[in-house]
Amino acid sequence: MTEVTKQPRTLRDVLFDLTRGGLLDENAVPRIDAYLSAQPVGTSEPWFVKLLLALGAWVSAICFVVCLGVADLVREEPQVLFAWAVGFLVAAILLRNLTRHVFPHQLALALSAMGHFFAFWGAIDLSPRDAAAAAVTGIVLCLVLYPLYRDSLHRFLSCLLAAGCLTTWIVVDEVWPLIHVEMLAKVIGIGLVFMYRPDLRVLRPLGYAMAVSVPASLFLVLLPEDVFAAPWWPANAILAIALIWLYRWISGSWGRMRTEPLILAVLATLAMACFTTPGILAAVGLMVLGYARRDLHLMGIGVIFFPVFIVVFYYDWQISLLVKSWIMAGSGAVLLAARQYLNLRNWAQESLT
Amino acid sequence: MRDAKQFLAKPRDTLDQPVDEGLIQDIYAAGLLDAAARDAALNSLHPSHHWWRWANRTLLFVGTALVLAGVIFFFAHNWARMHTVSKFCLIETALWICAAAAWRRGLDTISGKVLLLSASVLVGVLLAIYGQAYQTGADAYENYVLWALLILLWVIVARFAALWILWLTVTNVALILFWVQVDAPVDFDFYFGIFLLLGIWNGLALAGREFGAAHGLAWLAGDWTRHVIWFSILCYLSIPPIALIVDDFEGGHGELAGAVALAITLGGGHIYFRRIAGDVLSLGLGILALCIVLLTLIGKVLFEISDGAMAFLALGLVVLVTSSAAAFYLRHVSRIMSDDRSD
Repeated sequence: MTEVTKQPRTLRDVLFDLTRGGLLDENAVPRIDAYLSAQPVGTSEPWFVKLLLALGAWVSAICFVVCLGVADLVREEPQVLFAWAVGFLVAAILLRNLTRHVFPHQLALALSAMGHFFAFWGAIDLSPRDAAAAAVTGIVLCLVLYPLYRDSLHRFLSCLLAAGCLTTWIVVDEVWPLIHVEMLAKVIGIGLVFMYRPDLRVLRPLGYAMAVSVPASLFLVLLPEDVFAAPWWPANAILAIALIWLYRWISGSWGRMRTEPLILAVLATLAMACFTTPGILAAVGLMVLGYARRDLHLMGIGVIFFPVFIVVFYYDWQISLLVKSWIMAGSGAVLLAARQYLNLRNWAQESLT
Repeated sequence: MRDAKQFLAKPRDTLDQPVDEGLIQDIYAAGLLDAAARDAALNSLHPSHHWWRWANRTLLFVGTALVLAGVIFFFAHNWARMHTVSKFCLIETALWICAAAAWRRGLDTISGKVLLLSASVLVGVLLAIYGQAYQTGADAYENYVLWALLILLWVIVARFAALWILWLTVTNVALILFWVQVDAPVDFDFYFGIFLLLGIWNGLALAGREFGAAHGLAWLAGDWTRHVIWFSILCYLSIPPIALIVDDFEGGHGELAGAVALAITLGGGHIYFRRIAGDVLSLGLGILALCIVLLTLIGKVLFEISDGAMAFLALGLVVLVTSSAAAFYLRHVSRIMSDDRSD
């Protein structure tokens, strides 16, 4: 007896079924084919190569800046610093866009890092409010360079830097409620990039930067209560609503949310939002979105952030270890109880066998 | 005929690619499917079953990790109002429940394995409470050695990679604490030898992992175990040569032995991961370690010649060239391996 191996379903199979069912116009198939053919083939640059390039450019940029300082070529005047910044950034853009080899691209990345450094230095020198000046500079540089410097690694780093500067400004100037506004903006950004406009690949680096900066900004739980004067519940609410919206997006419509597993997922999310720390919701959200998009990077960010956050949460100054232990164990109990309940359902047992 | 030729000449197949929810959502987002068609397509992929398989495991791992973290936090709090006997009773009850539930569920199920992992973590918590209750002045490494010994049998029978990595981590901590607390060999100038020992210990673990995975031990075959162990080996073995360079090559035998071990490890690792295992990430980690040691050496030489602006300029350029060359090589290898796989 020959064993027939089951082939994975292809897009052609699915579109054929839709056409046969009258849900798809026959002319739509060539349009979909044309659309997919026109999509740029994703550059399969491994992430660790990108990391190596970023590290190399960053270290060499530091060496070059120190070289300029030691050679006494830089005067600490805002105009001079801005002139250096513009010079380096223009050189970086030209080098990146006009060449095709690794070394000039690396040099361009280093020059851009130097340009960023001098722009920040000039802005801080010019303004009495250091952190605010750095935040504005970071955002302006990101907005200007995103379309001009056509490199996904640079776009990711530039967005991450801007987000980091913004968070730093919130911490230094103690405008705590804005941390939740920033969180909301980032969550909306992630949703737009990965759920609603996945076709705009140019926005992916922005999406990944937001996906890294959301959990990273939650490390602010380390700040003591007398320093961090805002409650954390708005972040919980934002992340819980975002998770429920994500479930709706995965299911396809609100109507299809009226199924047992999704109702339970919503209830478990709401229960966790009532007492847990936002880091856990953020990690779960990234894992779910990553799985829904079949995006290993997003899943990786969630998977790596999760244990790191648990360790960081241990050192949270705002609540005692006893309360933290209840939060952790309670969150885990909610998830395990949800799993246990769903495992008892017939459909779940069938799907696991 | 011309259409068929055009279709075959396309650089990438589009309609014949395996379909998943992400691709359907992409097409919907581009306005090429309406909501009803998208829902029907998603239904036809049976996403709920697929989702449930994933959610089942994720809920188990995330939930268990959170509960265990809660237990560790609770006992780290060292609640004064709770009597020591109560603490022992509580943790031992939890330990027995986990072990018994693992036995009942069976070690062939994922929940049984996770329960045994939980029991193994709780053994460590139990030993920590013992240390809190009876402060005899004994060295902390003894607790870790005991922990590793007590769970060794479970590690063997569970056939669970996460538990094996936990055991390996415990033995690593035990080794480091032993070296620090019981004194490194005296009058032998071998303080950095700990990194060599750790490198060898983890090297043996990696060799065991590779051998096991190659001989049908599916539970060991996950790439993440290789990456974690290989990364730790490189971290340990990179420290002695860096110390040797920074100390003007006047370090002890430990640094020298570590440097030789790193050279052998990098060479052997490169051949193995390039020719046999075909793992670009492991190759990349090796090259990153080589770059770090090499740049430390070049930086040291440059700053001995001059500590002025030229030294920084030269070092910056060397860093750029090195990282570019490494990236170029890895891209090249990655493409070749990818082509080999598709062939």
